[in-house]
Amino acid sequence: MTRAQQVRIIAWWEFNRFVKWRQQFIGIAVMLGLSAMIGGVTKLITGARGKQVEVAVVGAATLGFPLPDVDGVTWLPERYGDAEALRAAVAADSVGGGLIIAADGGGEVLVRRKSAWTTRVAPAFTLAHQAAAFGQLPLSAEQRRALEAPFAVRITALGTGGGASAGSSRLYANILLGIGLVVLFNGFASLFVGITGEKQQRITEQMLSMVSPQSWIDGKILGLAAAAVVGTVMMVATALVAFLMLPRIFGGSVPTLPPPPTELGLLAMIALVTLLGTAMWFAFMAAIAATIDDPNSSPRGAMLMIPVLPTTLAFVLVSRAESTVAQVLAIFPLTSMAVLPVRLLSTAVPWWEPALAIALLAASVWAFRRAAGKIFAAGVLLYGKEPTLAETLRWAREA
Amino acid sequence: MASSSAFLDVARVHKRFARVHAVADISLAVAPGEIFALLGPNGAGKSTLLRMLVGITRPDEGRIQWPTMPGGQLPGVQLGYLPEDRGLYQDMPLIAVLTYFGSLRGLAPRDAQQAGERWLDRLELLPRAKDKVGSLSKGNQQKVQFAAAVLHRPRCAILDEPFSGLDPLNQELFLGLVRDLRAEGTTVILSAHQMSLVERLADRVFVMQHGREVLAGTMPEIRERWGTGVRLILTVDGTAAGVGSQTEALAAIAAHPAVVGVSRGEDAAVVIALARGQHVGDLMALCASRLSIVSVRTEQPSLHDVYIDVVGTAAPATPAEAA
Repeated sequence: MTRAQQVRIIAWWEFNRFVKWRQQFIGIAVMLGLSAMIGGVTKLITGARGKQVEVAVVGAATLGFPLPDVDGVTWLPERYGDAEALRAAVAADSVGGGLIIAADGGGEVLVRRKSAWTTRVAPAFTLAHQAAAFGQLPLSAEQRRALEAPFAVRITALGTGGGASAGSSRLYANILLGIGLVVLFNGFASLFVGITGEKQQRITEQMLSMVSPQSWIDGKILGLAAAAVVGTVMMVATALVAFLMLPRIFGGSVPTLPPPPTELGLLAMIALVTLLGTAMWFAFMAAIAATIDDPNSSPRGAMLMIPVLPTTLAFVLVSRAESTVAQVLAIFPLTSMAVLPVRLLSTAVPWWEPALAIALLAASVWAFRRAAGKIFAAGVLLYGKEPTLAETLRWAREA
Repeated sequence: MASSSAFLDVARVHKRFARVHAVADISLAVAPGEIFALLGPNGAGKSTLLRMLVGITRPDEGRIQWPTMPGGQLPGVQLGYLPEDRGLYQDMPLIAVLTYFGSLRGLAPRDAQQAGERWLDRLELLPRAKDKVGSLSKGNQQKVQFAAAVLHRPRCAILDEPFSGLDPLNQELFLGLVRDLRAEGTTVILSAHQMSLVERLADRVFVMQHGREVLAGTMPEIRERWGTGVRLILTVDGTAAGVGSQTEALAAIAAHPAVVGVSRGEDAAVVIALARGQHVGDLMALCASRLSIVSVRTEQPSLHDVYIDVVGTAAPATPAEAA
């Protein structure tokens, strides 16, 4: 039996251990159910907002423009003859509220108790007043259109350096980073259970009599990374379904996503960087997990959060993708998985930058994988104690 | 045994850990198709030696060779290993675990599954093939573990403490399973503490203490070389006439040249250890004249007796070994 065959068998086994299809689909159903519930509750709340409050108005004729629409308010302009009668009615709770318009402009809202609709009155009247004032200016229709038209800016990328693909680039960069973060989080859980659990269940010696530590760790990295990717894809697909379908069910407006970047080369490069970066961090986390004796008490569990740092850093750099810091971090192997896609989607990147980043990342994957194999080989047979940091680093150097 | 005909040849192997010389200058040879038992007290170095045979660790000095195999190395697919420190994937079905282990030992997935089902049938666990391992009792898990170690019909099975934790019925079952392995041509190397089982099972034994060999050979060889000879067990009537002088009688018997020791056994028995190669006619006459004998029987020294005798009196470890 070849090493590659063993790695394939182990990867498939680990994948099947951690991808429980039945539970995945139950999870999706629960997620969709919860989303539907939230949608229903939101609709109920929206319906509740439609319950109108009757507000009597005194002095509406002095406004010079019609009473504007205010969400949740029905105006009653003729019910009371003067301000005193209106105050008495509000105090007696005969009407939901009152509005007294002053002759010199401005107004006074009367309520018996604090009400949410009162905060919406001033903005609505301000807009209505501005529109009325604008309408009284001696402007032609053409002048009005010119004043109302927004200033148009069109972005054109010239040359071969790539650059911003569309206005949607930042959105998609954020989505990619978010997905990367979820893959890593999914990976934490499965690697932690998949390696420390095996030590706890005393399976290691049996396994090591069949396969080399390197084959075992390679299979685990592949299988558990694939499981994390599948878990993430299911999660993202569910979120997408909820995002697009629920508004149709509950009658809201269906949100639309801007078209994604269509350059195939760009997408392939991002996919490659994501793949290599995921492999590198999974090798790193596997090595850490192999040094943990008891997952319930080991402080080393916190080290599994290290791969999250570059991703969070990349979120900050989304709006500063042209900076020198971003360029350096896009090449540095520990951060390139997170930062390079952001730069590729957001700004012009010279051709050598992704080439160098991918080469360094590939070298790091090989080095991390070898180190993980060595650390795993030595650490996985240590029961009842954890190797010191010095021992761990020595094993890694021997790789 | 001559190394040239050996299936396994271990020559002057040492293994040291931080402050412990776990295996010290061990040499042994295992013939093809035999059951070879490693014995010794806890910490004697048996599991360390077995781990080196399996390839999990390497000797610091010395050589481990499988002379009949290409390159002197035993491929992993020809090896079955039941570790002392054992466990299974608790959250997976029995048949899935067996199929997985069989596949890693070189069987095609379908063959591994069929072999797993045959073993489960043999162990009367086939109806539970799809149950999770964690739902089985400890004894049944051990049966599955045994099956996982040997379902690929290895050339050599290395079994570290296969009988530990088993009730007497399951010990008998495992005894039969190990014999079946040998009958199928598998060489078996095992370690155990159950002397009576080893005595019934092993072709040869190898006793270690403090990492060193203290005795080795077949059972007859061990009795011949290390045993105290045949024991004569006399049941005597303590209430009969002349009982008052029994102590004197035992002293007189102990002074006989054919006797190496006399002790009182259970149920009014007198145990007389006989020297090798001595005639006992006049000794019997002496016993008959001084004791009221109810019954007479002889007993070969058991492996347990030899073990206690040899291991109990073996030289203490050096400071490095004892650490």
